Amino acid sequence: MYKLLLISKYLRRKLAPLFAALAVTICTAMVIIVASVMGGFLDLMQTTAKQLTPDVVIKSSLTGFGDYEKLIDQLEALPEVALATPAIEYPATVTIGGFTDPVQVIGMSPSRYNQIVPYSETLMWSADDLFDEEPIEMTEATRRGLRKGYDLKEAGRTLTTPSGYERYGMAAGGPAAVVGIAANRYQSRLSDGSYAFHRSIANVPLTVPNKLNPIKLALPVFAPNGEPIDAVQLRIPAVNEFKTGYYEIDKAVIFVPFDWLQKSLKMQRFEEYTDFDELTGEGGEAVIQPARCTDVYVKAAEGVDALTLKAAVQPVVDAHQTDRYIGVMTWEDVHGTLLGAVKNEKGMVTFLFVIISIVAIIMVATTFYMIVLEKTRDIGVLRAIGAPATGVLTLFMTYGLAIGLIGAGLGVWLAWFTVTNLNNLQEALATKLATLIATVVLAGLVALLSAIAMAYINRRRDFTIGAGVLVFLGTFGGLMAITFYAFPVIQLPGFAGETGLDSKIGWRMWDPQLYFFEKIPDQVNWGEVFLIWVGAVVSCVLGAIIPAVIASRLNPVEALRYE
Amino acid sequence: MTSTKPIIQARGLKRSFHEAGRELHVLRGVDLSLNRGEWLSILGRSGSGKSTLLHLLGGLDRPTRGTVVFDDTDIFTLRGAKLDRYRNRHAGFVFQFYHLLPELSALENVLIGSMLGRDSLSRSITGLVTAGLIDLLEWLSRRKEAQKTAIEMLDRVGLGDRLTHRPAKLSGGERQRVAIARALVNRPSVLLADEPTGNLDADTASSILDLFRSLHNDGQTIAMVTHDQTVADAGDRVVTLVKGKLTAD
Ligand SMILES: Nc1ncnc2c1ncn2[C@@H]1O[C@H](COP(=O)(O)OP(=O)(O)O)[C@@H](O)[C@H]1O
Ligand SMILES: [Mg+2]
Repeated sequence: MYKLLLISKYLRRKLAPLFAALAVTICTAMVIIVASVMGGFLDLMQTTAKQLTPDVVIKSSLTGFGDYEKLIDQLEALPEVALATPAIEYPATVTIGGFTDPVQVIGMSPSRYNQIVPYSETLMWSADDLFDEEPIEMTEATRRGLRKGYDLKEAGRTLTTPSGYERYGMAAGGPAAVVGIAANRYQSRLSDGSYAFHRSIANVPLTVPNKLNPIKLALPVFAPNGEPIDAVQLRIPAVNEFKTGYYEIDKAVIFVPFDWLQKSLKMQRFEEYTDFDELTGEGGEAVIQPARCTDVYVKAAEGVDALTLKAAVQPVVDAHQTDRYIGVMTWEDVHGTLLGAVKNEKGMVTFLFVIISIVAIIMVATTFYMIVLEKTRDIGVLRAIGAPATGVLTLFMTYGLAIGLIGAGLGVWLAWFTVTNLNNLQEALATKLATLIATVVLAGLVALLSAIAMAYINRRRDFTIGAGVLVFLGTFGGLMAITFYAFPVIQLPGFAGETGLDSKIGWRMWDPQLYFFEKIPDQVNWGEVFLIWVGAVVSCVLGAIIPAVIASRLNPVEALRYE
Repeated sequence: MTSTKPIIQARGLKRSFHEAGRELHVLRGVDLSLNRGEWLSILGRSGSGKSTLLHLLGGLDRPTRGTVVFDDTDIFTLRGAKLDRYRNRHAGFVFQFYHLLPELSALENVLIGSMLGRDSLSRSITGLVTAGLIDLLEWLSRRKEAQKTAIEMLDRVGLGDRLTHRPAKLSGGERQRVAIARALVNRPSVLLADEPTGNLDADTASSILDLFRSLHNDGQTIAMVTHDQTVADAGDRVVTLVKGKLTAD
């Protein structure tokens, strides 16, 4: 019992252990914040990357491979496979208005592709957008007329041209393209990270004059034997934009109908004559070149994971190998480099913070060692009045445990508070700087006043610096917590129309115009948090062990003589 | 009051220290009997080994040779925890420099002795936890009573109105009174006082001696060491420590 009494007194009367607890708080919070944000980032990347990438992709070279229909039949006979569809993934340049950029054109059959990935969910614009944005210069009547025949969603979903493009020589019902939102250079994010319809390609045919639509594609063409034979220029109306949130995809992918692309690249089935006499044209024989594709997309059956699917698909593909190699990749393989990089980064940063935390352990150990030195005579006294050596040992271990519980507990709170408010915080810094500073100063003043008031009320009792610091921190933290939740709606009188670091120096912690995602990941993984918390508490106890052992080994007489 | 049965008996106590490669023989064979209810003064010059002797009597230190018999057992044959218990229950230490715990109030300083009473003996972690819980329950069940005793003790030493003062806010004499109350809280068989007045002015010193006298009159056995003949004379019997041995006056 005397241990609890002493620890509660030490906690209230000693500043050094409070600093040790603070170090633990900050280390715990840092590790949790980094793990949460990086982990959230990784999760987001994985989900967004997964959005338009099939479970398994069978891929060959640009020349493609034939007889894919047979391969698909064999694949779909496998119990692990739900669905397979051919696709052509092809490098190209796209010219939109005055800008020409490299892109990847993906030819796919929308109805099947939609069953493999949630493609239509990534489409940005629907007919409703026609009415939401003012900058479109047209009469109400035109809009209503358009709305009837111009279903943007449906056009994007089926990759067919709606009416409205006739004046550019594009017949309604013909092939159409869907462009990644970041591939259109006329489109750019607003400062809050969203996009405007009036800058979209889908809006363009409705406004006159039109510079952007139809878009122009240039692609190389290869003979079945891999020889480059031609380059084609294609014009195709873009009818919608898609957005996964994964910048690498949104910047560089354009969807077009599979059949149209296959035909344009001369990859459809055709007959040719070989070995005929070039002078007379006599003899020779007809060779049938099968239709080709570059990729086959495979969707896993219910409950089958990508790796299992890959293993099942591999032998079927191997039996189909031509002289050009056909590879099998899971969606993670496809995005391996980037996902791997983020994973590495998360690992690295967490590792760095673990090292910092080891410094914190050493700090706890040092603090405790100093406390033991300072308390040497008290330890002698305790021994003299009958405390056993194990009692002294557990006294300091429990002290370490208490510091750990307090420090790590506060750290978890701080981390949770910071992570869930990261977006508010950056918004406040970027756009409401004056309000933020005013709130912090105000909360600080209130906290200071309440600490002073508490000290005054308790002046006859035992009010210590530790208690004062706790009252201050508690009040300040509480007030800041409340203000942060309320921050988006807070408008202090006199601060209307204020600006922040964004307009002052162009600073944003997380620039939604630049980054893949509009929001900073703001979820904590409680499983991870628990592990980190346990780690922090255990570290504190570990830090206290050596000093505690030293204390318990002290010779009581020498401890009493200690000056 | 003085009975003839010795409460503590030391025989052939030797204690030497290794210091800078040399053997320093501080106690060279001390024989001593302390009778129940007796107030024994041990007189000696500074450095003569008085504190060393008192630490041995209180089981705080171990002799190089010799025995201290309490209640028919040599206390140095006791294993760690039992020796701790001996210090807690049967020996009450009072030091020249008071040695109060600065974070605790006067009352808590006294109470801590009775809190220590039944500390866990377990060494395993789960053992420690359950023992800790048992300690807690056991303490809760006797807290009231222990508190009452502690307050009585502080009353007894004349500090009934200073319960919540911390040591820093007490005078030297008052601190020593708290230390005496702490030493007495478990009603020890013997009060071991190491120059209890050594750090106090003459008036305060004599009031502490008055307190000792009144405790003695109530039957408390006291062994007190001092370098001061007049202080020593306050006891029933004075022995002198010279060259590591005791001589009766
Ligand atoms: N741990 C120790 N190591 C070496 N010498 C010691 C130790 N403790 C005490 N001494 C020596 O023993 C002698 C007696 O010490 P002490 O018992 O404190 O004397 P007193 O209390 O009579 O003044 C002194 O000379 C002191 O230096
Ligand atoms: Mg001494």
